[in-house]
Amino acid sequence: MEEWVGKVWHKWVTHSVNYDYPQARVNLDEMRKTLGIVLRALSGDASLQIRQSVDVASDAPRSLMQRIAGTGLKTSAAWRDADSLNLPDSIAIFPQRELNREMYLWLTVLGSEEGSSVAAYGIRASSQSHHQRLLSAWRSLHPEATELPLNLIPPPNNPPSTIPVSLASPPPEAFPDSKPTATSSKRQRAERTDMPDGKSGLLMFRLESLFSWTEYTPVDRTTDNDDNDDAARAAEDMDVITVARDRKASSQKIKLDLDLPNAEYDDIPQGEGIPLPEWDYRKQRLLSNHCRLQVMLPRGAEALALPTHLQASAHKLRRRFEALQPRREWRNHQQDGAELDTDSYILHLTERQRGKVDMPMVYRDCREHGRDLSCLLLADFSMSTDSWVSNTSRVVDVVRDALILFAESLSATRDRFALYGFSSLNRQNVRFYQLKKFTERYDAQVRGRIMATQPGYYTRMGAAIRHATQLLEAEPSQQKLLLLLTDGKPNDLDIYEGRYGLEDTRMALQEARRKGLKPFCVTIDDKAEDYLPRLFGKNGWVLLKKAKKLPQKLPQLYALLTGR
Amino acid sequence: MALIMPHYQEQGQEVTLFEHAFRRQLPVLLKGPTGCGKTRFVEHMAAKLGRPLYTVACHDDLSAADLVGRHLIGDGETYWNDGPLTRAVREGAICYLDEVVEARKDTTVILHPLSDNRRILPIERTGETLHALPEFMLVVSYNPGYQNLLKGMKPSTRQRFVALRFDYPKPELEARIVAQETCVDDKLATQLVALANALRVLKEHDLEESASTRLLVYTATLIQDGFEPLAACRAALVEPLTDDSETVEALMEVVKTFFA
Repeated sequence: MEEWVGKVWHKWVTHSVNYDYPQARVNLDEMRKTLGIVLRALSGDASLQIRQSVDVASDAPRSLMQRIAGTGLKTSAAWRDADSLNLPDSIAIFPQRELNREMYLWLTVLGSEEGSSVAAYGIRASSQSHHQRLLSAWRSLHPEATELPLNLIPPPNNPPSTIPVSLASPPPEAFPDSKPTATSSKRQRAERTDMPDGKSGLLMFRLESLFSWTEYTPVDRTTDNDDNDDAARAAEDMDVITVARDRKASSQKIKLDLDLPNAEYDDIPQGEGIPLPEWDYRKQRLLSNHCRLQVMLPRGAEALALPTHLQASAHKLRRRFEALQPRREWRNHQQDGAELDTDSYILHLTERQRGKVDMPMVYRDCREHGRDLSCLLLADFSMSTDSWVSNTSRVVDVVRDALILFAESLSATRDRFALYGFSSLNRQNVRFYQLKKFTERYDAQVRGRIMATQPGYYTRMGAAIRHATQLLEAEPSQQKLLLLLTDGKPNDLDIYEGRYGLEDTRMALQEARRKGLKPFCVTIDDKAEDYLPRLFGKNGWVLLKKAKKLPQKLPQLYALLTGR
Repeated sequence: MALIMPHYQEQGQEVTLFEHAFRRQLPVLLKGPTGCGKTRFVEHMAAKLGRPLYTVACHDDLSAADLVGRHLIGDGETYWNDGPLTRAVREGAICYLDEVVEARKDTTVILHPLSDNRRILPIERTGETLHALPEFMLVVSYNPGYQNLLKGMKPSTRQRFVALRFDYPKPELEARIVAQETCVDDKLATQLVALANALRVLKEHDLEESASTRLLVYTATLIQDGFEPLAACRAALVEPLTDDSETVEALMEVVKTFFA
């Protein structure tokens, strides 16, 4: 009862001091794209991003009611720092949506002023006119007000005055360590901040470079730690961290982790393992039958409808790609056909005048003009794809979505395509997941396989590329595209690390090119510049800075690559 | 033909280089983004050098016969008709193949003997072999920005040309060009160029294409003709860049900052 009364009281009292207009609330998420473009265009810095800010402690005097309600301690804030503009996650201070939107715009214009290279024109004037409109609207609501309730402030943790606050708002005096106190916002804060790429990468050691500490792939898995509710998981993480510090103990732990699962639980092998060669750059020769590649079907794959979150994009992409289906086309210079080909007929007459008698090829006929292209998409399913790209999805989720949208798009055209995934555990266990063969239809079963493929193990790229090359080579098409989707360098438990792996991959790609294939790589590793040009050539790869965009971008990229 | 010389604002040494190439009979390759003035440059140079110009916009159905020529039907018999390339070779003109990578592969076969020191054009259908006049010049252009695996300039073709890279001019130059082309005042021209440069920052991140000088000229022309600036920017600068309506609205917010 007490609790119930308390809740009702809390609801009433906080509501009575809440000045927001919920029906006119504008969320940052709906404005993010627009604001991002405005920010980047006006500041002249293409790398700037819009982020969500956390609330900061307020120094403004609180009304009696606010004191009673215990609200008003914190206010939403906006500030600009070196690589982002931080804006509140929603604005509802005006009763009209238009004005709340304009508030966002004004803050963005203001935020792009700093360090702007194109600022010479109108930015100031524009921000002033926005400001005037907003201020007069605000005054009509709050006649006593002199300033807008929201303005850019110096970034928290920094001494004030790093940002020229162009308006006379009283900058909150101090934020040195204004840790928000309420539990809900604390949680928020933790989620919103950038993940540090420091020690949290520890977990990856056991997975990616156990026997070679030379190349350390920092993959953040911090989000695992965030969820304090999940005590079991926290404990598990703790466990790992402790043992990781103790080399001996950690190796035991690691061994357990990386053993191949019992055959009963493992993916279903298809046929015998395929022996494949590998290039040893130190000996400068191809070691024949060095690797064994096992084609596998993911276990537990069930026919699956198109996931709901992809339906809209899939529909859009399908329509776009349907328009690109092969058209019927007139072919000239045929021996037989529906119409006379005037050009060829004239040529024929001329030739005859010159005394040359040929078979008359003087007809034209309408035929389907196919694009004679086969594409094999090879996706990296190594353990590193198990890391997180955002609060809700891992790399592997993005890869799966990308595979599905890619398949949706391509099945709308009539290009032949196949989907495979790969990972590896030493040279004897290169796992090659057969998601869709060239001869298979793309259907619910294929989607099920894509969703059931689990990330694990390492990235022995060379072997996977060699097998993909064999598959593509058997295709009758004229043009063959090998698309590789990855999140990092080649690596494996043994010497397949660093230069060895790169050299082998490079050799595998050269072999593919010699066989008339066009390899192309799509990566989300922002260090790819260091090694991919050497493997794929300067124009043979592309880096997607935002992994989340991969599902949408991949079909577009395909269209671009194949000249659609 | 060479009476009116189209205006061209030199950005570097391209005019001098082109003159040297013309004198020494070297073929020239122009590369650069769309709408940055490649075609205008060639027109300008043809007028300056006093040579006729044959421009061919290449497309994916353009075959060697379209360049070289074909037999036509006449009064009871057939006769040969020169294509633009053959005409240029015979007359000692400049032949400009715009977006050359778009053309069908069989065209490279005829371009190779013309672009090296042989300078010959064998016409298979008539059995003739033409030797190009000293004034003949081959100019081709392409846009390396379009990343297409299946189409692209083969290195063996590219290596036969003297290459010139074009890009959007520096702001002051570009403003001068816009003002000169459309007779708008300097202030508006500068404003438009600043806007264009703001939009160019978005390339690859938010947009696939950059706002070209050509689009700027279109926009300025509309404004000069009395059309309202914001609407002119929307029609000639923003809508041509993207089909996504959300991006259009965002770009318009940027435009409003410049034309409030």
